[in-house]
Amino acid sequence: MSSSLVSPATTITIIAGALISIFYLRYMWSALQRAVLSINKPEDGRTDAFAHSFIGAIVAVVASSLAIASYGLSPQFLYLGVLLALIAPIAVGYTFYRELQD
Amino acid sequence: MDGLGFVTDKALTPAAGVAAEILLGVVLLALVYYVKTKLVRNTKDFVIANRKIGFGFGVAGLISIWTWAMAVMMSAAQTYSFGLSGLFWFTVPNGLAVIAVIPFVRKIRSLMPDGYTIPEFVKARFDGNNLAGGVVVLGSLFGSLIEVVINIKGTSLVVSNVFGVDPKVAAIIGLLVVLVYSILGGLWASITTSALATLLHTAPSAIILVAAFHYAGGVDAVWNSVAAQGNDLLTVTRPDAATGFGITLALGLLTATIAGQEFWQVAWALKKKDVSRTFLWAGAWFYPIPICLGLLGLIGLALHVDINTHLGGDAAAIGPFLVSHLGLPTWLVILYVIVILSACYSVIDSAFTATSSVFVVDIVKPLAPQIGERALFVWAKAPMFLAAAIAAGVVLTGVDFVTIVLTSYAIRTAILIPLVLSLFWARMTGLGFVAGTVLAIVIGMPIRAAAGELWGSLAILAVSAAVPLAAGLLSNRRFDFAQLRRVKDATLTASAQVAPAE
Repeated sequence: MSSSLVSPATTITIIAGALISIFYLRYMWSALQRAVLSINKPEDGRTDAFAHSFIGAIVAVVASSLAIASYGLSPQFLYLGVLLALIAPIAVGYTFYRELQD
Repeated sequence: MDGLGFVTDKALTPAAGVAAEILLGVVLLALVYYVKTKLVRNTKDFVIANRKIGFGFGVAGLISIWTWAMAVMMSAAQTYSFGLSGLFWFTVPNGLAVIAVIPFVRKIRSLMPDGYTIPEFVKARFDGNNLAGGVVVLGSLFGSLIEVVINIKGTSLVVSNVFGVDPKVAAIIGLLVVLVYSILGGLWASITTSALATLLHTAPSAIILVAAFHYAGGVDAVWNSVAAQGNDLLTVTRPDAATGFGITLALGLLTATIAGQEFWQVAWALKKKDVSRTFLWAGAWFYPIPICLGLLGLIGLALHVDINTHLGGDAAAIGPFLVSHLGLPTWLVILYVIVILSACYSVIDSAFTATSSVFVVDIVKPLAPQIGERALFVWAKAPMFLAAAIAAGVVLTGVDFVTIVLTSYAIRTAILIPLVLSLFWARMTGLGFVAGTVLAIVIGMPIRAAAGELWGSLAILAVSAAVPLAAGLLSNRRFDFAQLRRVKDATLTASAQVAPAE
């Protein structure tokens, strides 16, 4: 193992991070192109009808609390933070995708 | 874990530090140049992105705007100080503060769809009351200035600690980099560069943490070392974390988002249909950043890092110290610095844009209502220079900026409840707003000085709630919220024309 790649676990994380970054940047760029193309278009007039804010807030707070508390259960749970940090850009990349579908 | 020593990487020279700052700036500048040529045509594009920010850019931008250098470094610092309880009390209120804004931003977009700033709303709500508007202008400008100063200090702290760059040089380079691209693109620049920064806060953080665990002896060694120290370091139930900083921090965070122009401007810049879900997703997906990077604090505990010997007495230095002394490859250390720099830059550019919108809408337009579009567009950039110059002055002179921090803190906390009442209570009066805010500061700040931050904050909140409620109940007037829908778009001028993009 090359010292610059540190360890097998680090190498796997680097590869996963690189793939996720490509996915993220691809959709971010597409969303930017879409913003440029639709700059003179008026908004479609839809109002803010999102109705899951309260439940979503509870889920987010409980899930983050459980994630932190789980660190105290066993050493392997310390990798949960790594996993979440890799899932976050996928979730944000998905919001770019949704923006493109709107 | 006693066999591990700390090493210094000789490749981390001051030149490498300056290069990292500039390199990140060049990448962001290239993105902003594209955005400027395609999306920024007039003042409205510059200060409110023509209200065309969609779900993706909204979520990605907000996450990074809320990820201060502090969120990156303090999550590790509080874990290092209090164990998992510190991480819990730092992290949970942070994401919640963004989500808690939803009812307010949703309401303001429906009541005043063509708004730009908090002071503009306050003036419209209280029939042009200049005193109420003036108090909020002051609070907004001071608040944004503080964000610039704190984050530029974060930039200099990291770059000087890791690379040995003169802190003043590091701060000035950081300021210049952000100033250049902010002047080019305004809110579009802030949102798009912040979206890129969100990627930098997440995937690289995961890589850095896995490598740090490896150099610290592995997760088993880290966990067992911390467990052996006792003190409930691996539980989230230590009460001293809540009383030591948690409750006060939670109040401060709520004030920063609900009364922060940086958040209101995004609420007005988003497409109408996306406002609520954008804030929910941003709050929820902000969480992984401190949850991941906070674990550097646990590694610090496991390796018995000494706060005085290794960190110069400042727990916030735990992350930069570990990453630069564990023996990680140079490229990973530089990547960590870029994670923090991108956090600093995205907060500073957002603060610059907030000063711009307040200056244009609440100062220039009222003073010169007939101003032309071209002149307004030029003036929109002036407060960015001014904010950068003041922040540079604070850093270069080493002047104690406690007064600015306290003033900003006092005004923002004091306007929180009056602002909420203004949005939801028809009997709220301008007199109640001004008297509540001023009395809360006059009474609350001495209590804060004498009894501490928690009691001071509670006193400010109590007075700022009691006075407007009393004034409102004594008044017979009821405000017709429909009036707010008639507020004209403040950046529209006689000469305003939406020219096609070049």
